[in-house]
Amino acid sequence: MKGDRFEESVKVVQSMSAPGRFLEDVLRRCGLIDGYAVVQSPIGVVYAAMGERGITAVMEASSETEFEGRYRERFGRRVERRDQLSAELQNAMQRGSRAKVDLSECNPFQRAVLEATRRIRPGTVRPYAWIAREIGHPGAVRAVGTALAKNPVPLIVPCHRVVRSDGETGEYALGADDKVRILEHEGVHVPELRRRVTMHEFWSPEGDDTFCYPFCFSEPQLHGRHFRKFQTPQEAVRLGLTPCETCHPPLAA
Amino acid sequence: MAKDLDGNFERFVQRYQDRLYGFVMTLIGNHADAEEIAQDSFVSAYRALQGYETARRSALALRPWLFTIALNKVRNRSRRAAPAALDDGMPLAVPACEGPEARAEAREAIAVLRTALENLAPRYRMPVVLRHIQGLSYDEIANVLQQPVGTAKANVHRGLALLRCSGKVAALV
Repeated sequence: MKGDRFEESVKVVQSMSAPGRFLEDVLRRCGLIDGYAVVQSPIGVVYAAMGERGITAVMEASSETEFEGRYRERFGRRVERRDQLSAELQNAMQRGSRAKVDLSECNPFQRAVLEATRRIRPGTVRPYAWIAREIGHPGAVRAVGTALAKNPVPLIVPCHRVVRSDGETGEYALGADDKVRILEHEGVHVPELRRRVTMHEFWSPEGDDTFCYPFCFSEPQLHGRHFRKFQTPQEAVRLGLTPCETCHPPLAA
Repeated sequence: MAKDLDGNFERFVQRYQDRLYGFVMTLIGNHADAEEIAQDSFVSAYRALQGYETARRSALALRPWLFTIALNKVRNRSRRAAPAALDDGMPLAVPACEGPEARAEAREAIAVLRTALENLAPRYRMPVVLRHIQGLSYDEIANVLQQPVGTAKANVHRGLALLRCSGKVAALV
């Protein structure tokens, strides 16, 4: 029966499915699948991922499957291994704060915290309270800690350089022990921090016309230099010194 | 999808990929081209949706809109391609992921449909495909073809009647 044959053909066509890779191909072309590579870091091998807008994540994971699963859970996006990204992502790990990151998943407060954190130079640290003051929320010290704990791109946005005001290194998105290891790798003398992480003392290198928080200096900058030390910024200001443009100490306590 | 395009687009593709692919396959008859056009349609849809305000996305009838995009791409392709490509014994490719039997079956089914449909005047062909192969409602068909619902309905019925009765079709099918 001719009509039946037509109906049967309709049924076959209706049950046809798109080729197996169809969905992935479409999502990839729309930029909805991010890519990742395994890269080296001071704490060993980590997974780094990027999308069209920059680096989206740096994570530790025990396997590719675990990473892909956690990534999807956290960002709601697919991610696939792309070895051609290895060089770019490895380079980004080295460039750190100058690499392009995608913080679109973060709220404005988190973004402000992470942007301020990016300005901390290698070999130096800042207390949580400094970040809070820098972003205009001096009372939100705990919230700064929470925002940093959720940093999607640790190592690239250097949240390991933010420490407690008592000089303890504190918590870290990738683990507290690793925080110490990374800081030491960057040349920070961790046992010394207790003495220097304070916002109640101001240092000025001999012969310099600016004054800083003591944590503004890296270990090499301390060697063989003499500092004038002040208990209040007013003392420094009275001597004609101006606040450092990197660590922004106040003009008055 | 209106509020969270990126979060829901995957489900949208999953939901319509088979039907859109089947639709284009019926019109084009060639696996590689059908896949390319169907993919291009989804990518174009995504890019367009990116540029739309939430309100405009909510107001959009997604299914007919998607088929319209695909239909325009098929028309553009047909305009560029040599007309002969549509009716001589062009080899039909079917998805490699299916077994040889399914492939042979799909190949034959498409050949049967295409032969039958090619004997229909274009104004009946598309409404028949959209209604009876793709399962679109008359409202949706009217939307895709930009004609009144009554016209779409009449064309579907007329097309189907021609398809079943035409001696020419009967001889071929």
